[in-house]
Amino acid sequence: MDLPEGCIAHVLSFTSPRDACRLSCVSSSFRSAADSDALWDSFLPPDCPSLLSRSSSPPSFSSKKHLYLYLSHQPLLIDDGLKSFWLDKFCGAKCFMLSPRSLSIVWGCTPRYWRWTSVPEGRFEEVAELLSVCWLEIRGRINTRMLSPSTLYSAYLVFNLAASAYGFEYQPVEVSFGIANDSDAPKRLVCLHPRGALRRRRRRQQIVPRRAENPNLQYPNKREDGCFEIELGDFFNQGRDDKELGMAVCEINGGHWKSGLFIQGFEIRPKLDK
Amino acid sequence: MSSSVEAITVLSSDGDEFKITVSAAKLSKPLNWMLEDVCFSDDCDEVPTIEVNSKTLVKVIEYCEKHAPRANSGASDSDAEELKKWDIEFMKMDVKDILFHILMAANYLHMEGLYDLACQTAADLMKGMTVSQIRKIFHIKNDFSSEEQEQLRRQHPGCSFD
Repeated sequence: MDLPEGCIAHVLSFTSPRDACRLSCVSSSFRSAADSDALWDSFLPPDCPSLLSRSSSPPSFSSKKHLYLYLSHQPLLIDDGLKSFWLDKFCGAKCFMLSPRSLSIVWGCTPRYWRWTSVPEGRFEEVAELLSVCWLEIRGRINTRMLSPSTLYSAYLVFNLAASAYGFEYQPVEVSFGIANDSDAPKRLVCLHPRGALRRRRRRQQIVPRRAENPNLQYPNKREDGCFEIELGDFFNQGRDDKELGMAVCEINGGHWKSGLFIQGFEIRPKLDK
Repeated sequence: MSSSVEAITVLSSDGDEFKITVSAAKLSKPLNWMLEDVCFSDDCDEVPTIEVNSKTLVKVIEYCEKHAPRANSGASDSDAEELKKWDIEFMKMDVKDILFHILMAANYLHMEGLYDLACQTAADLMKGMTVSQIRKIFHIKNDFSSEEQEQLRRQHPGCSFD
């Protein structure tokens, strides 16, 4: 039975971008429905035009499908380069990265403690390099309206460590992601030093004391772009509310000096079942 | 239109007669217009034809009769929840033969709720099927030329075309 193209497009709008691409192989009418602007408009977030207008160089595109593919492969700098925005390739949910300049970093303006530099692989113009502090506190905010509805999000700290970094090997860092100023927001302890890095160092320099890695701690993962990331927490955005969400990375209890952290930003993206 | 009329008779495209209550018929915009325009009093023997086959029309009327009370009076959350469960059961019929017919009928009769339900059901079924399974189950002809197929094979290496 042959469905009209409009009906096929409506059926495809209940699938995912990935399914729609695959289903374009069924027949020629499926293919034209799967390429239609009407379909890809339904996959693009409703506020896409306003997000594009916040970029200093909005992309040009020949169809809504091309725009979707562009935004799911290429983060777009918005708000004077303070944030970047892109779409999750599989579900089309909005993703954001907050630049270090858009975060509130305690002591961040004191050159003795933090230095602002640019690195070739950085997504933003500047990264914040931790020279040395005892009080480490980095906070960021995003409004739930910016995020896609009915989506489970995770926030991540994206960073690099200098070869000379210290203060993070044994000292856990407290991180959180949830409703801002909510004292009940779940907090977790993480280690910013990658797992296994200690063992390698131990072999090289026998002076590091032998202490086991804490099995309950989370350790950073290496990303495709070469940076590390650590999950700060997750939050289910129902989409009905207008709430400020807060992200935090703190180490203010140990009182030790810490150094060698390059902050690339906070990333907020859907938490997908892998 | 006489206010005493509670049900109307319609003909399917196969020529069978079906009764549908006025409140259920109101779920469809074209039927609603028909109710307003056409005289359905007892002395009027005009029977409108709906371009939907009998097998499909039975299901469409069943859906309308179930949803009419809620559409006309509003319902509590628990009713909405119960109706959602009913919809899922309703779509568990032997959909593969009739689903596309229901989808087209809902589109033709401007029934948004049933149209979305049918499209969602079709989408969920297709998500779990290969391209060749979809063609077979929904009787869709592979009308690509061999060159086009070759091109699609390159673009979608994961899809099976046989």
